[in-house]
Amino acid sequence: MNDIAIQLNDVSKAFKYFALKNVDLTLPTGQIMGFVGANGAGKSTTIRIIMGLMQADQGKVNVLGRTLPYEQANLKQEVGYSSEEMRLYGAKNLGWHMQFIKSIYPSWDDNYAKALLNRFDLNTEQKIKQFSKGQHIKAQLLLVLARKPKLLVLDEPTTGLDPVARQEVMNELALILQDEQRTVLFSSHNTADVEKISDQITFIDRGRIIDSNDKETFLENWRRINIELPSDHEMLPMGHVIHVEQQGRIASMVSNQFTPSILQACQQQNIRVNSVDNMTLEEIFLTSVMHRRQGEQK
Amino acid sequence: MTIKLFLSQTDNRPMYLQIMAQIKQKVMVGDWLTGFHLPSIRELAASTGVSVITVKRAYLELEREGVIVTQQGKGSFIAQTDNMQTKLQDEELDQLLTQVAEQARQMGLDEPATVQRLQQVYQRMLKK
Amino acid sequence: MNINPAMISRLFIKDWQLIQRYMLMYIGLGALSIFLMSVKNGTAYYTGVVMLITVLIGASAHVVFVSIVIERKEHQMSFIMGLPINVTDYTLSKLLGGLVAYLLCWTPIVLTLLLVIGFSDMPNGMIPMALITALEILLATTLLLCVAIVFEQEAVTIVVMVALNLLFNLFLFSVGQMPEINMHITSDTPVFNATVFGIIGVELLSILLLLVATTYYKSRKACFF
Repeated sequence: MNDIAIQLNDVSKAFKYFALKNVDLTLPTGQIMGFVGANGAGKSTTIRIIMGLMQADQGKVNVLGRTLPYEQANLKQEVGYSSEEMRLYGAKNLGWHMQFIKSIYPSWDDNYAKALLNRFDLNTEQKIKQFSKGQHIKAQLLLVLARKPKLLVLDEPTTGLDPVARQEVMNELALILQDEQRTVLFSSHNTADVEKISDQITFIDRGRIIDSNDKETFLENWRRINIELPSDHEMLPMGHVIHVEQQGRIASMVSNQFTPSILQACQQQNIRVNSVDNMTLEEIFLTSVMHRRQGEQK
Repeated sequence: MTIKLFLSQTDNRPMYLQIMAQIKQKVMVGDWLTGFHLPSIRELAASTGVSVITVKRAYLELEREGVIVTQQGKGSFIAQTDNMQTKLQDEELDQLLTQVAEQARQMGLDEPATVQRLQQVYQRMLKK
Repeated sequence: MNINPAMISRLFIKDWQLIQRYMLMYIGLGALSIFLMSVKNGTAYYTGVVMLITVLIGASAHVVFVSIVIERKEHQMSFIMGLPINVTDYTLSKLLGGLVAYLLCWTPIVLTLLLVIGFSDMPNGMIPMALITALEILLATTLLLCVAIVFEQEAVTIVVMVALNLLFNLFLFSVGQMPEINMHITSDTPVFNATVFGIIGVELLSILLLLVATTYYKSRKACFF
């Protein structure tokens, strides 16, 4: 058994108005990775390269031990892929689609499919074109989930879902965790979805990976520190602090490598620390992106 | 039996601390007694929708604190400690008092003044 | 070159299920047109001929647009790309599948036409011309399939379709002008001379060449995008 489900090394792909640059990505088997980025950051391009649907200009792509894009047909036997732009055939019903997928994948599980129909509240007789957007997305996920693939690659699975449907989908993804051989990569611009369920988190912005780590390390490394300065002079730069906002004597700084030494440094400079707060993934993401973009401009 | 934990996205504490607090609470109220077999990390992750890595961290911390013991291949159990309930309640009280002491110190109160303040609050509460 | 025949046939069956009803409808309309042709009335005959040609060309456009152009436009192709296939499997399923689906409609219509000509009062000398014309439509269908697959663009496919329809009229006109063809058209027995065989041969060969060239061109692509 392979310990690494997805491995990208130095993958680049240039388009006319966009380029994916030197992407490195590792996802161990049995884990869920949340792939976070703004619209147009390069999430879908990266996922297409992972699926072998698009060829990188350079770099190595290995998924479940297969080299992409050359072994894409074999890979796709073991991977469940769904993307935001994907559509089913409007003139046919869900039952027809289920039969079609079942005829392709021997791993299709009828009982699981039935349970999913129930939990997702979907009707097999209803034509796809009569489905709401949320039902359509859930139908696609059902087709992917019921064949129990080793690896799920889901491009924006929760985009366009109402809160109820989103909860249903996230619950199903969570259930996959019971099997330690199954791996999930899902992209999202909704950090709340990613924060709860992911083991690994990767941020992408403007075609570059800006951070990739396990979630606990992520949340542990980032802190917002609220402080009172001894005077209203501009605060001196401090190590491990990537962002400072100051007005008068009140300031707030963000560290992406928090250690107690920052608090000691504050003490030495006569800075009073009012609070050291954890940050949500959304705050971490926004600060990372802003910090990275400012760095590029310099 | 699926284990239910009541976790909140708006709780300021990190998720692993919330999980720890909930498990400790189950022990404190006597729902989970010494020797109780906890769900596996993956089971709890699946039933709560929280990532495996977070549940793993909560279990590790609980083990470090002596609340649970993990045996290779067998799983995790509530530890055999005398008066586990009391011990956890003590810990919780200590935590709250530490916050009080911290706040008092920041306001410039010294130790006797803080104690005096606490006495006043306690007596007011008794009168009600 | 790796191909997966099982997947190709599944994709074909799926495509056929999507157009089956319409293809049966075209067969019905085709039968109706042939019936009109056999009625002893000049107006009915010409209506029948025009309708028959319209049905054959309509069915060809239907196959190409539903199974390739619209599937791409409506993003069902993204769904298909996720299945265990590579570009060659996809190309073959669309090319052979599209052609087979069209033949399932074309063959009964053309056979009926030939039989009706053979057994009705229409001169049997029409048979070679009818076959040549039907094969031209089959060739045009193949070309349209190839264009839709290679260019992956709705606009290009529409333009080529329009051009093929114009060429069809030009083709009918020039073949009709050939003495080797038109001098036998009203005779009682079909005359299969060298010219007839030559044209049919070129038509069949062109179909084969188009299929091979398109498959070769697409099979060199590793990826869908």
